[in-house]
Amino acid sequence: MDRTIKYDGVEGFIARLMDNYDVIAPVPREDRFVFDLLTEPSGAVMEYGTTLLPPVKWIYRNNEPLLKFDLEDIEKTKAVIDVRQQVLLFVHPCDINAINIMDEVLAEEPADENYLAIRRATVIIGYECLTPCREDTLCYDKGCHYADRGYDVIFTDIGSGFYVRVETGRGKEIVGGDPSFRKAVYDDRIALMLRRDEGGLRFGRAVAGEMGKLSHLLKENYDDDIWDVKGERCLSCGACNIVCPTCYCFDTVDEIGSDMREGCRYRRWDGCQLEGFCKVASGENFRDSAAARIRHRVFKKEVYLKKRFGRSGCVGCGRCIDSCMAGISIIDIFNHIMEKRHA
Amino acid sequence: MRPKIGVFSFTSCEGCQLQVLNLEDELLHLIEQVEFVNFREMMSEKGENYEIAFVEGSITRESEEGDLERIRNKAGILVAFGACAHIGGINVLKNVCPKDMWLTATYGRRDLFSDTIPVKRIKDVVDVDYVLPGCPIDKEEFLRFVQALVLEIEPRLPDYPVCVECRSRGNICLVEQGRWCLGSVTRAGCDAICPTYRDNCTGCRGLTEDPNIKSLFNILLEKGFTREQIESKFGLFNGLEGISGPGSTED
Amino acid sequence: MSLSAGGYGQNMLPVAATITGIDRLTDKDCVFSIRLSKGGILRFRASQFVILSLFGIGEAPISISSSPLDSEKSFELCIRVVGNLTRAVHRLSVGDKVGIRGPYGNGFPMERIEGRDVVIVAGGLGLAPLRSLIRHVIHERDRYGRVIVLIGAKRPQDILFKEDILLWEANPSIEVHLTVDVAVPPWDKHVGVITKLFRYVDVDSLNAVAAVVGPPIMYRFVVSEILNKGLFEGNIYLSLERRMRCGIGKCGHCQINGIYLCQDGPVLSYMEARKLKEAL
Repeated sequence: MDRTIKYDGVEGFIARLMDNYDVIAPVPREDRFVFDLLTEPSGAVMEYGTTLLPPVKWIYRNNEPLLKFDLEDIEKTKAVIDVRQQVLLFVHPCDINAINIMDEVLAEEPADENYLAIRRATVIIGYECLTPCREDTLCYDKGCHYADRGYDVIFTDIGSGFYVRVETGRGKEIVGGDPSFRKAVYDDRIALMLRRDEGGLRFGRAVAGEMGKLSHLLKENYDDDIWDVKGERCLSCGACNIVCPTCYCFDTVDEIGSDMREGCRYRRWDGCQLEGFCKVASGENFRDSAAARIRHRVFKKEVYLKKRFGRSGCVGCGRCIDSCMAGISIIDIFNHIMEKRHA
Repeated sequence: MRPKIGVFSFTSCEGCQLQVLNLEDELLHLIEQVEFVNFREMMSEKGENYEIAFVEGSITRESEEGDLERIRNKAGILVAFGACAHIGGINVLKNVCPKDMWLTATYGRRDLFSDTIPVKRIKDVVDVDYVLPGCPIDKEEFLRFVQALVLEIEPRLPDYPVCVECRSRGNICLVEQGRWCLGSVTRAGCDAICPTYRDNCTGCRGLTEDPNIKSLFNILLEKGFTREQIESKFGLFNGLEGISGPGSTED
Repeated sequence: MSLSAGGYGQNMLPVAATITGIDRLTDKDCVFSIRLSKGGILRFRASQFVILSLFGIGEAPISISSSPLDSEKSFELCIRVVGNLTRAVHRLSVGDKVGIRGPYGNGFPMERIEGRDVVIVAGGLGLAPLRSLIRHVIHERDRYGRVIVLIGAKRPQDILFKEDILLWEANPSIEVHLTVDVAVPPWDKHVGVITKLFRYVDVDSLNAVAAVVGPPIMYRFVVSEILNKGLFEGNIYLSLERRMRCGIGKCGHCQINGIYLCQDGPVLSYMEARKLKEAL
């Protein structure tokens, strides 16, 4: 059963959430936003532009502990998962779609059990976009400007307050017992429909051409010049990987305490754009040009993940475009490739 | 059995040595693993039986070269310790400035330091086994470095640029904001401390293995910086790397 | 930080294992016999690999050099010193413990090799995984047709598994040919690249398979020789090398175009590998 909540009821709701969960919400950072652990219920922002890092990085965390070991006794090694009950608050649809992709990819056997355990302990409260949050986005091209699953509840601004769609049993528990919410009635549902219809019209395409053909066109243009052109410009800094909500490549590092007795093996974010990503101990580098690495990033999202999981690995959030100081844009790359069909 | 360590200082502010002393909580554990036999900032003994020499500072006087060679001959492992030792550091600014000018600007007189020579990195004088970069060095990295030596494995530095750490912390890119930053071509390991506190990365940890200097140079030119400005940013720590903008004779 | 050990999280957890034997092959290669603790048995196929852990140092993928038919109690890893982990392993002694997880990868498809002539081409360290296959084939020799083994190395002193090779050479049911790039006396066998040995390869091409493992540069030339012998692309198996971290198809390092080598490989038929532009 769906609910509504008045604008002034939200803060109280957040305060009660904070009693039971770590609440991770969008907060301002200079003129931008980040998902951060809330310390005050009033700290959360509902209207925000795409965050610097996507919320999924609170599920797929950097420096996540995987194992604890004892240098004296190898038999004492044990797997660890640092699980905290947390709520990701006001997550945009693009980021919900990204979490859906991560869920599917990382659950593929042999599964990433650390991710799955933390994911299970994570409540997702969405916040629907009724207007594009930025210019350089292709969320509409990707059909990711809305989300139809992956959240426990999702808020939509309907003018008189928020309409709250309840998707899961856990979502029902969270809003069901909270005094700020009341049951949604017929008029609320009409308001929701109108708002969503209006909202949809505000989104437009960034890429000219049928997205369904992108994968095929990329494969046809594997040896296109665009990879070299972009590769010359690329700094191989890995920013696009780090900020991507569906990048999950990692390295592991062992760290030993200063007493040299115990240690921990951590997972650390890695990125396929970094020069050393495919370098082996003997020195051979199996993807040694920035051009080949950029191509790999684009193909991984649009060709390889699509083939394996039936959908593109890009949700069109635009973070990789935003974060590239060299100005490399997947919108430009996609448009270039789409034009190729006519060449 | 504990490896014996000597810490030595040439021309520098000695801040890197201080970083070791700043390991207050770990220092007692550290001296269970290694034995310091010569460490001016920490102790008065001056042992000569060190196996591992950490050498701080750059070489700016001829007499220092002989001292450094003596250390090299005694040490099995020699580590260039901090930016001055590793890449020359800010001392290199002296090389690009007429002597009278920097003497007057710094000391108000020009009749000092008659024996000064152009700045050299440690590796310009003796063979260097390992580098511990940074201005100052990162004390955690120093700990891991010493652990590696105790475990008899090669100490490893990150091979990726500062951007990885900076983005992982959710920072807003300084270059995106129209400021200059050398993080994209600078070796990580500092956890992007400067950009995190909204200061530019000046490249104190030296360049990554395959930096795209040309692209960064062009990006900064497009942002409105002049070639001279960009070269001077690189010159702050990496003055001996021969970095120059497009169109120059060295390009 | 609270660290909670759960009943899950086991996919990246190595099990303890003991080194039960060390056999030096060359100045940089040793064979380590490994036995899992608590009576554990590693069930594997030829050319699968394990991920070996030294806690505090890290992990590395190492192919298994013994045959699944050799012994249930232990398996063998041929380890070359190339980095920190392998250097540290070489300092270990019999009785020391390491962490093992796996086996990973697909291994050679023995069921598709059965009943056929087998050409095995090993360049350098490529003999490490292929020794597993060779021993497997010898164990059940009557299930295969002609067996021809070509082995190449830089110098005579770099040849791995010399004791095995002596046995194979003495075995009338298989043919072994060796070559080195640089001869050092008293070397009296072939000198030159491994492709030169193909003049000895005489097989029923329609009913033959080839297994090739060697340095990256070797594949193109060797495959071209095998194709010249008339073998089908689908009957040529290559075991490739990439950087690997997780072994469970997640960390991304071993990806070759759309496949994860740790899961979908390391053995690929040439027919598959040919379609992957990053493979060869």
